[in-house]
Amino acid sequence: MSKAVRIRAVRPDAARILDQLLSTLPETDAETASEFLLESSATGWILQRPDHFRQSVGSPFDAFDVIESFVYDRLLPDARDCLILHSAALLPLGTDSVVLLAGPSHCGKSTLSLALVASGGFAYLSEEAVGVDLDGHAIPYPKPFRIRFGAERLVAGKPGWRIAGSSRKGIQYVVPPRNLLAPQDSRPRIRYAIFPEFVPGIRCSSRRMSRAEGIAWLANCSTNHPDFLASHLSRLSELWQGASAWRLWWSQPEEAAEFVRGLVEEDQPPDPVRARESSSIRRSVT
Amino acid sequence: MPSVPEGVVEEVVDDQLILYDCGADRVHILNLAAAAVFDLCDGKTSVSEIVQELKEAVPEGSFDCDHEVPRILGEMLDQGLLE
Repeated sequence: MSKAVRIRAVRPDAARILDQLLSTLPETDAETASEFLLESSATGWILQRPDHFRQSVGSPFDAFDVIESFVYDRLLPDARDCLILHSAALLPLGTDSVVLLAGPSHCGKSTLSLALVASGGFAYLSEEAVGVDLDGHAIPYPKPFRIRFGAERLVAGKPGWRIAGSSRKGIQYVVPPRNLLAPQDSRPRIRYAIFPEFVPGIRCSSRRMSRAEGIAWLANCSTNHPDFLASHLSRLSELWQGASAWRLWWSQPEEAAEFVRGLVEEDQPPDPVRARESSSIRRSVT
Repeated sequence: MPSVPEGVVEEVVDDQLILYDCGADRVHILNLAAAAVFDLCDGKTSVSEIVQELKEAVPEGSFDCDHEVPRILGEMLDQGLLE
């Protein structure tokens, strides 16, 4: 998957904001899939494309939000050479074993991956979408962290982190320092898939999933076109040899991060995490 | 005669059956009982024949085929995994 989106801002202040938001993504000479132009207007900002797309946005951060949606909704599903997963991805330092934090919006991908990268021991690959090539290697997509207000406390006082600003949706963009990014040419393998679910007020708990459950849940996180997934489901199953999958219910990011850290260090959930008994009988169809 | 519609892809992983429904873009896992019922849905076998086949295959009293098979079939029909 090598396509570029080009973004041009007329005003220097907007260009600076976009430069900052794009600063962790690699330069590319890939074919241009689309081109956006951000201009100021009497009432705010206008984001447009040559194909007559035109949208008012409140700020350059809102424009970035729209461009991200375009990438997820229009570009990534067209990938034909890799699986695209709605997932964060981290690389425990000194390993080539990727930890995926996969699941739908608001399950905690960004907050948990921010907690792990900010507290040390993990390099950053992605917080929202990750490609997995057909040999099982993860492809980095190190965009800025997109977090809800309050989660920025996880990087307070940490050197090199920048809080770029916020969109109208109550989203903060946090840019990690470059030395915490996984090397762009690294192609580490998927080793753990964690499916977090945010449940307010609970203590962190987990359940190890069967291999089939892990594959099924991961397949449900794919954003590829259905025909691609249909023809590559068995490949996903092959790639999943030796990997493990966990469900994780959490409310405090630090506690959930400790679970992931313990999983990587020992392949077992540490105290105070209580592993739930895996039910041997599930519903007929899940 | 329940049958598997086009666009439902099967993958067996460690004795569990994964089904991908391309039309709904949704992945399902079947437990052993549901997988056994699904395997018999070839478009030629009637519901009563499926019930009878499973009655002969499982130890008596371990699985209420008369009640469970129609329930499982209904659930899979609702999910679009059978037609």
